[in-house]
Amino acid sequence: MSDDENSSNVIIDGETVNDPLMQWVTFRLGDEKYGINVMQVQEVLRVTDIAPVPGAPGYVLGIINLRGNVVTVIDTRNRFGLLSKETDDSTRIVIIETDHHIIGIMVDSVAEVVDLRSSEIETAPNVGNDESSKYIQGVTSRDNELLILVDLNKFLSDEENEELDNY
Amino acid sequence: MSIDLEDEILQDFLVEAGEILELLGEQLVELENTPDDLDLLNAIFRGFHTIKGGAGFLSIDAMVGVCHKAEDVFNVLRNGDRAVDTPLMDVILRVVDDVNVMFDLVRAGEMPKPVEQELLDTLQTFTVPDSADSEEADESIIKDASAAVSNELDVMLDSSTTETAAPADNGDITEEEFDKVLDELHGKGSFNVGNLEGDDKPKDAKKEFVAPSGDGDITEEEFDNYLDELHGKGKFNNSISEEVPAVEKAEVKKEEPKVEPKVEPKKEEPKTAAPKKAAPKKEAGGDTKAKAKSAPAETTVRVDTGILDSIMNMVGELVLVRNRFQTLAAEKEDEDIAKTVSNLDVVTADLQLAVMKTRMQPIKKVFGKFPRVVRDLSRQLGKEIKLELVGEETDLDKNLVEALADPLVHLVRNAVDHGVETPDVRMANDKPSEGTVILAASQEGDHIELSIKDDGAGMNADKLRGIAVRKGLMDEETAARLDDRDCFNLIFAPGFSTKDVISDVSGRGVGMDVVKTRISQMNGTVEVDSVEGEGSTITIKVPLTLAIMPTLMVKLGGQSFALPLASVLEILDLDMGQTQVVDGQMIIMVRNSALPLFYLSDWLIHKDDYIANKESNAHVVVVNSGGRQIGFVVDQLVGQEEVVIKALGAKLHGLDGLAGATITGDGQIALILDVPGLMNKYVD
Repeated sequence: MSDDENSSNVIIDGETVNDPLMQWVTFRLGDEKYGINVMQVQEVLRVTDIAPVPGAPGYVLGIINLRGNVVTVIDTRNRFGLLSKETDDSTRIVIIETDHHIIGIMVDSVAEVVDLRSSEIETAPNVGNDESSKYIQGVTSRDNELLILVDLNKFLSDEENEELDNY
Repeated sequence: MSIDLEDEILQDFLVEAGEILELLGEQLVELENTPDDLDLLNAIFRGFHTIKGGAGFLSIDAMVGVCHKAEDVFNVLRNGDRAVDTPLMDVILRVVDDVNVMFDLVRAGEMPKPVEQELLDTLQTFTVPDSADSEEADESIIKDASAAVSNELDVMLDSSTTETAAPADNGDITEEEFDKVLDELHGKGSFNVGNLEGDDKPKDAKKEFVAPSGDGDITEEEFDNYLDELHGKGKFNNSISEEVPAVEKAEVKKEEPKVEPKVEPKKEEPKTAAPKKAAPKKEAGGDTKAKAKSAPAETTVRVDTGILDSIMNMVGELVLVRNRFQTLAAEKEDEDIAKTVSNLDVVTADLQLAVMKTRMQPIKKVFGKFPRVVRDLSRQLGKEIKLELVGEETDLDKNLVEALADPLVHLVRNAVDHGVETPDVRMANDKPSEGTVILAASQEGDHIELSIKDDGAGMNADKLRGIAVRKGLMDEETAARLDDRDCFNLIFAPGFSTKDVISDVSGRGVGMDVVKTRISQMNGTVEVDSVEGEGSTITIKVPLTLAIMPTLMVKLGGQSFALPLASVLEILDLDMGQTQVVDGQMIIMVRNSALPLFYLSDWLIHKDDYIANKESNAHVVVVNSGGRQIGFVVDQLVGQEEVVIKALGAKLHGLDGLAGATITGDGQIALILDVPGLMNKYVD
């Protein structure tokens, strides 16, 4: 996330200038709750027909027709090292806008938008080689539950590098 | 020092000067063939002058310096004081190269360095006339120029009136104010005064400009110079002829300084006088170049290609919506709806064509650089080669023009290097010592055909067979079975080179396969034919546009796929009981020849519950891939559909066998297949 995005959420009342408020969209994957920066979320869709793409990397579910645009959908469970799961009524595709492209990530369900101050976010504990830990920007505790904040830029670009390495 | 790229003036300069530079390259090579063409000399002179003017405005001194010298040289040339010869051309071409380099620097936001003094000195030697002065030769130019002067003066004064509304309103302008007006028009930055005949040391215009306001005396000549500078366009000569309207002269020449009322009519008079003067000229049909240039300018608009691209995209969407409507209308069977949809169909098709036309550019844009390429190369190789360009006006999609540039350069270099022989060899073979390379373009229906033809040595099929075997591309038996045409096409194989010695120009054997790959990326084809001793012809066919593609829709396991219609040869209904397996490959006999069969679903569908029906009758799409005929077995044929190619998005770049995706008439996504890519990935 860039400084721009931070500053857009700054509430200028003197005390909070150095402690910006940010909004996060939370979603569920398995038992965990994750958050992504609301500024990067374009929209949330119900699951539509996903056309598989032969020859695509395993974590790419396929492509969808988003009002005339072709958008790639990623299996987030696969990326986070979780077993894949049948889609159901609560399954959603979150359309994300990153630096260069628009991409969809499939999640088990989308919950809510939460406000968090920078001071409430703790840096993630380094959990070694865990598949998902690479993309974690920080964690916070809400309602006795851990909320894992995902660094989308890393989540999306890391894969790209890996993908290149595989060739 | 860096340059502010945001500056609009700079952007305008980059566009304008870029075009002039491109044109200069062509004109100079043309000049070498017709050294006495006065119009051409004038055009080149004006070209340098315009660049100089623009560069001066932006204080790009390095560019001003060299353009100024070049301008001087052409001033001498067009006055007939010196003839165009090869050493001069070499120097001038070097100048254009240098200016091009500077131009690229400026475009990158850097201030270019001045050219080597040695080049300037050489140029200087060419500015000295080597024959007697001939004023007559200049006469016609002066006429043109003066017309332009009046026009431009008019425009300028017009704008000066608007820009300084206040003084104009009270109808009373002081000399000082007028100077200020000029100053404003003048803008920031310093200028080099255009050269007066024989005078080639740059002056500081600003300084000069201030001076007259002091002593209140502007000579006619000076005033013209200022106009020249203000305008930044070299459309006129600074030697003033009698054609300049008298009023103008009278007013500009201010004998008595600081007499206020005197200045006022100056603003009025030229405005009315000048056009009158210019108009009859136009009617008289004088071949005034300046006018010919300015007239069509009013009917054209410069548009950012980004906007055109987005319009093209939107039209693409519209085509998709139309397709959907057509699908829906077919279900409804309502006459009114059917009519409306067919109306929509017509309008969309027209719109699509019209938008496509806006993106069309003449192939000349690419062809234009070849005279220079051929000239340099033939000189380097000691060959005499004449390049003929045919069908330069053929229009094709902008993206295609750009995409074709590299392959064409390669093919032309090849024709010059491999094709045409050296003069002595040609003489020995009873051919004229000068070889000919013909570069032709024409539109053939929905595609463009380009050909590069040389009258050189041609190719020997047996020699090619030999090379293919030696390089290990195939065994002797296979090579012997190839017919001559197939042999010629061997030159497109990777690693194939007929040259025994690798030169700077070619011979590494990497070029032709790249050419072929590039052309197939554009859904085009390339073929070669040759007659030994008479020359070779390479023919390229590319579609008119890259954005919209006719395809054949097929279904595999419920999913839609689009096969580019360009590669589809025919559709057959075959009894799968008749298939045979030869050497591990399933084939079927069609009209007494063996057709290899592939189940597309084996490659493209990875569903556990999908099993292709391989027993009964099946639809077979026969496609052409690299000269081979191949049968693709599909589950279902949907029909022909024009699709808009959409690049596969994030994470899916560079997948073999897929050219992109599109949205079909029923709103579903269909993958567009790339036949050569598929064959590469799954068969070879």
